[in-house]
Amino acid sequence: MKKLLLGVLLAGLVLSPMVSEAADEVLFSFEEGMDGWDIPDWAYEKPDHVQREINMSDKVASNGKKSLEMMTEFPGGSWAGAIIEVMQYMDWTDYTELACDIYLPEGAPEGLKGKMILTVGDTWKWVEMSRDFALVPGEWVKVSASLAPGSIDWRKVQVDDAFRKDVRKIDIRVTSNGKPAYKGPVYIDNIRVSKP
Amino acid sequence: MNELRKQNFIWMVMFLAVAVVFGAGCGKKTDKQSAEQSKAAEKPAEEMQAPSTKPITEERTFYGFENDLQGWEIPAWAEGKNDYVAETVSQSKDFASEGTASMKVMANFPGGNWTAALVEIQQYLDISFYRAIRVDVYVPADAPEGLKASLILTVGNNWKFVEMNQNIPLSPGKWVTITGNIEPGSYDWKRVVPDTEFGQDVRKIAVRVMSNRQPQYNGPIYIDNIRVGK
Repeated sequence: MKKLLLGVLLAGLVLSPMVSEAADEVLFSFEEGMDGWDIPDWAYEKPDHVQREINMSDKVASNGKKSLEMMTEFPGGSWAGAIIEVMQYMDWTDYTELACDIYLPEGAPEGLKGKMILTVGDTWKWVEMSRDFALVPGEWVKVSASLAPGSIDWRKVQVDDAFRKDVRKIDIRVTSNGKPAYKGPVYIDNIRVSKP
Repeated sequence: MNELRKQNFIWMVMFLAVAVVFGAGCGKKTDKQSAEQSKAAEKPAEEMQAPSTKPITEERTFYGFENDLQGWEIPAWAEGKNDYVAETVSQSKDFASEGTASMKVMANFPGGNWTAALVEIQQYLDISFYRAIRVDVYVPADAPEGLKASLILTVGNNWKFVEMNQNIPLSPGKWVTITGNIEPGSYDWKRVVPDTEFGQDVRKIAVRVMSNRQPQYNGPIYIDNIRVGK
């Protein structure tokens, strides 16, 4: 009996991380390629959008060995954003959280912030997260937003099943609200949805 | 000379006659104007909607600080200002009014001058479905009496800074709930009487603890369960 209990306990210990990982579904980890992520055409035409190019990178990763590297040039002194996106029809009805990890190299200034933006529904409604996450140089920062009905994490929208069911684009935007000037890479990895 | 006086007299009479005719004509109301004015006089003055006196029976916690600070921070603008004395902010399990954790703000009020510790979150929120916003604030039992707290909202396209009308005294060793009524007609806010749009576009929430000169205090302040109710 003791052996059985010990076995169950050990099995639980071994399996528990696998169970918690199973709740996450990784949508994009950039191990094999850029998975369709690109700089939107309109952003090239806007002087306040300062992303220059994106590439796969093996310098840092929060999941696997590779991540997406977005080269940026924030001039400081005025609002500027660097944005990338992927267009893909997604149904997240079963999921309650969307998250990604963003990394700024050590030596980058403090004050840059990141958020995700979704394009949803037949009207291709642009829905920004209701808050930005402060990026910390030298650390992976998890940027996350609840997808659960009634969530307050999305701006000017009622989050319900219809919202989650028809997601058409994900954008990730890093912004400088005037102060931080920065020229260099921003790394993005492990874009995922999770179940409760 | 008499001729000159006579001429002046004639001019004066003519002027008065014109003035009387013109004045009477201008002041005459049309039938339509008269009808509108009398209608307006009959209509009672529009009453300012008053907030409900019913108890709040349903609450939703926006920030409970159970896992992290959820984006709350000491704002960059407060750094380097002598009268803003919050030094650090962190998640803490020392005390909690809801769950097991709260936000701990370390502050150093020197006394002698007005000083305040302020923490805030920038987040776009529509809280118009609710009647009140609330926060619980705790200072340890060894803190002095006299510290006060209030909520501040930043609302609308012009990022209007809206403070509560009153600062609520904190009670050392006890959780104190600060409530700001956001219903149309509420008098809880300084220089603003909320209308139906007030809660639709909240962009920042701040909690400010202040010492109005006397209390000197160097220690933690705990903030928890920032919520809305209806």
